[in-house]
Amino acid sequence: MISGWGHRFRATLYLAFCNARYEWRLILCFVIALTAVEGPLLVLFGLKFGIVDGMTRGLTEDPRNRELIPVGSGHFDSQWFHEMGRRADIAFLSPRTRLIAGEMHLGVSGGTNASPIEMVPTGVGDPLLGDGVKAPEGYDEVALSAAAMRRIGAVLGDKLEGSISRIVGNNHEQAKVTLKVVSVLNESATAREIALVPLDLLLASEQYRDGFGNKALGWPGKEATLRQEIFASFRLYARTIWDVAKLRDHLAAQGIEIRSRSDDIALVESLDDHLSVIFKIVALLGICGFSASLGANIWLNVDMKRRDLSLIRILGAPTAGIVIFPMIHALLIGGLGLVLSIGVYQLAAMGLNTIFADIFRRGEICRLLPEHLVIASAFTVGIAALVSMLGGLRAAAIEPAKELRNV
Amino acid sequence: MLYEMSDLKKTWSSASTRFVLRVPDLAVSQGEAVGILGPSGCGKSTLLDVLGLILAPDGAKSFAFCPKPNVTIDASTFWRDRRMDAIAAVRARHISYVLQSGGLLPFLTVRQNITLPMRMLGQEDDGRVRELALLLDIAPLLKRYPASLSGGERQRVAIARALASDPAVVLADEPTASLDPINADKVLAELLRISRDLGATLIVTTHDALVVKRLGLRPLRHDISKDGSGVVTSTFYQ
Repeated sequence: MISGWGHRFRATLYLAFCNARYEWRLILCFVIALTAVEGPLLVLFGLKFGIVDGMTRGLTEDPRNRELIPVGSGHFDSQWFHEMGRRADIAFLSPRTRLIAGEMHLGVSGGTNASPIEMVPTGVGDPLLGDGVKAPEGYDEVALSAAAMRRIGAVLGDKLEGSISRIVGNNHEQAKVTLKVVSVLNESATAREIALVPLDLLLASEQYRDGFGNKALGWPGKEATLRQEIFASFRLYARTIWDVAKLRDHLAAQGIEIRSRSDDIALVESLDDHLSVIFKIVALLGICGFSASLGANIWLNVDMKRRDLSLIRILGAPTAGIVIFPMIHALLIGGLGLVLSIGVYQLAAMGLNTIFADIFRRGEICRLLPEHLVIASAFTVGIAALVSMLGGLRAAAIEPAKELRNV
Repeated sequence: MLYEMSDLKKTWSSASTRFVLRVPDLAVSQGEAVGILGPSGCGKSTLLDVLGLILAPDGAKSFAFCPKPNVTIDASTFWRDRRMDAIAAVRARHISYVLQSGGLLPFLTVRQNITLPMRMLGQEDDGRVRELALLLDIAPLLKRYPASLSGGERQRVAIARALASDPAVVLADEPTASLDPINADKVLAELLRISRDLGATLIVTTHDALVVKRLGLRPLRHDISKDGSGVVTSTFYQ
């Protein structure tokens, strides 16, 4: 190292800070100019991410999009359920009884609003229940859809009185069961009035209608001796919406006709692809505009300092100091602009999310993940450093005498 | 000798003309006060920049700079090898400049401007700034920024800055061109007196032969010739 390099380098840094302090108004203008471009760009990206992510999430989260419904009834044995259940592209599979057997009169104990509600077999992992919602178990628990809750006027935790009836000979018989509402389905899960119950309760009521009794439930009659092995139908959900078509084809190959939203999904899939391309183009344009703005901003700043830089060089500043001098300003501008832009974004996001809270129901409409902000920061600081370094190198390459005499 | 050069050549061009600066032989000894005389555009600023190690000569048979009795810097080798930081180090340690318009940094106070060369060398102000400020009559201005000073005050501050780091040589490029005649004479006389007091060599460019005579500077004369192709050659003699 050349003698005194450290002193001269440190003196140059000191000069850079003195200069920044002296020109704080100018720096503030540059910061505002940068914020004017970067702030709205962050909001735009936030909206893009919030909307697309919300839409995709809405699509994937709505269990109806992942449901495969068999048309008519068939014969599905436990072997079939066992084999299907092993497939990795299945999220939930449950046997289902004949539709006609699955209805129960439900009402709040002591209430007057008892209504016939369709029973749907459920279990752990049922997409209708959603994540972290308790699945009903045994013979005394039930989960109701929001519409069913309204129909009978129940609230979570209520004890319900359920009854099913049969006609034996000329006698009209009725069996009763007490069920506790352990979960309520999300409004978005289904609009129908349904009660999710464990398969065993559904089977017991089917057997009751067929003339059998059930000891555990205290229903009179001969106990059914054989456990049911053959089912007329099933409930099936694919793991993701992208698995639906493959599953449908697999079942069709077995002669099982399926109703699903796979055509809608294909449409959404291609729409998603197109939207992604459009957003990529918008993002690219935005980033180009932002880079150009920041670059021009900093280039101008370096250009305005060329005479000062020449003077500083004549006074003995080392080359590294001349390169770093404008970089300090650029990083100051870039850093402050970034902080201000993120502030602008936060405010705008807060406002937008409040305004659209009722309209956009799929989470926050304007949203960025922490890693997005990290990328934005790295980009801003990187461009600021790069452009100012190029400017500094250019300033360092100029013969100082030339610069001083030409002014 | 502080400077010794022979057969030095530097070419440069303006918009319309090509210029050649030639120095067949030049020697300046320590403590001397030299005046480079000539009209504007004759290459005297260029010669000053070459002496100040700001401008690289195209070539020289020899170009030695001896700021101290036992330190000799072969400037032509330094330039040939593009040892820019080494040159900057020599400049910071031994050479000071007083520019036409002061060349003060606008974002530093007067005191910060004056102490800058010392800061570059890692020196502390041991009262020298105060001493120089009193000698140059600028003590009340130390806390002000250059923008609020008059032309004469700025030149005085520039002189104080030039002498703050105890340089071997002070190069002044028409230091009083922007001042009125009375102020100009006063400032030049002060520059000469203080440089002498501090033992620094002083090299001044001026277009005024009377100034050189009045201050008793050793004049450096030159010839200008223009050849058939329009190239202007300026040759400086002892």
